[in-house]
Amino acid sequence: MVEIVKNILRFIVLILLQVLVFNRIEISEYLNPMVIVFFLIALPFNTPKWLLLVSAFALGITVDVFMNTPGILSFTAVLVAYLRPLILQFIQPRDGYSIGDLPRAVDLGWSWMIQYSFFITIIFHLVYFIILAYSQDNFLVILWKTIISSIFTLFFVFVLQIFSTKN
Amino acid sequence: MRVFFTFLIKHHFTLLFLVLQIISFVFIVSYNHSQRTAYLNSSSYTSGILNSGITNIGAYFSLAEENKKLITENTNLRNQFRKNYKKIKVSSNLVNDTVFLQNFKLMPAEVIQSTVYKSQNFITLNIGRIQGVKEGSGVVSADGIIGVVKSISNNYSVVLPLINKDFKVSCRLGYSQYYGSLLWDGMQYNEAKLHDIPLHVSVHKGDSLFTTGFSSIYPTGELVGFVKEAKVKSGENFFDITVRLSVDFKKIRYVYVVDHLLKQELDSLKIITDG
Repeated sequence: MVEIVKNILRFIVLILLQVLVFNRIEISEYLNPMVIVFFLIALPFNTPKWLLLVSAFALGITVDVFMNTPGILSFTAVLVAYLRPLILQFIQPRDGYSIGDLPRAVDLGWSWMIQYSFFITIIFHLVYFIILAYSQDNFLVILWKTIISSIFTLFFVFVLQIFSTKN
Repeated sequence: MRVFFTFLIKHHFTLLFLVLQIISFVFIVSYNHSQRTAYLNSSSYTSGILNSGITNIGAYFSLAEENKKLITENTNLRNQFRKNYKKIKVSSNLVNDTVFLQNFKLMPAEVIQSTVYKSQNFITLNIGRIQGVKEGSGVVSADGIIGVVKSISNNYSVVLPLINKDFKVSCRLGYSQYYGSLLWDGMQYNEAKLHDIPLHVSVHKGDSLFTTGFSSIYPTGELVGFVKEAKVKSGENFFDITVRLSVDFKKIRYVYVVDHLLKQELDSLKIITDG
């Protein structure tokens, strides 16, 4: 129950941060960090699969409304949510995920956390920038945008990890 | 039937995924690449209020500079007025009692949100339907043209600026009078590309670009930018011209929405001609 409230709060706070703070960072055309991806990273392992997709869609479309890009972020978020179980399986620790663990550094260690957030963040930004560019940007520009924005987002994710503690 | 339901339950993850992706795809296709009314955007009520609140806080810090700009603009306008007045007095040829029909009406607006570093940049203005903004109206500022109104709500409107890849405007070169279409290449917020200028035209660095007025969105002769560089690519018949935009999209604050009063008349005439 506590976990559900926590996730709903995280959903709201991340959207507000994204829309009111991170979308207003106007330093370079290469830096558009999508910190909402942290919501998808932090969802518990036992989240029902349909809920994973539906919440990803809700997350994407809400931020889309603020950015005047209906569909682009929701497409990206739903795709990443769909890939998440595969990624989790791919980087599974040798003895699997134990019950009660959450996808965070204190539970599964930093090396796992870095791998996991790296995959999710890079895929999210890459897909997002590809759809945004619709054939006019060359691939090198998309790649640079992905790398720079991902580094920023990952930094944000890791800072949050440092402050998260075991209940 | 039971087989069907078992199938649904077994593959619900992938099926739901496909359904949501199709919905997103429909959104992308129907809203992002056209100038049609978009309901899901920052002109909507809540996002409008949030954005204008945040912008109001920031507004206090740039008041001094904005005042200075407004004073300069006022002075320029007054000067123009006096100049016009003199000319009419001097000219003796104006015998017929000419009544000048007003063609364009300007409405002042304030920018409450804008982006310059996204691939899809947008500007939100603090006026909308109630204040008389129409979809498809042009937006200009003291420095040059800004863009075109994409969608409106009762009190806000969203502008598709020059620095959006969906924007296109025809421009005339000041020196040679040749015209081409100006498009943003998605890179720097102060540069765009001018297309369709044939190689035999003499293009000079620093030459100014003006609107043609063909689209009946902007008045003819509004400043757009200056030629920064004109390159010749081998095997092509047209110049590759880089234009430095006259408007600094990072600084815009007060703009004017252009209402074309005779647009309807012009459009209906075009329809008749087109058959």
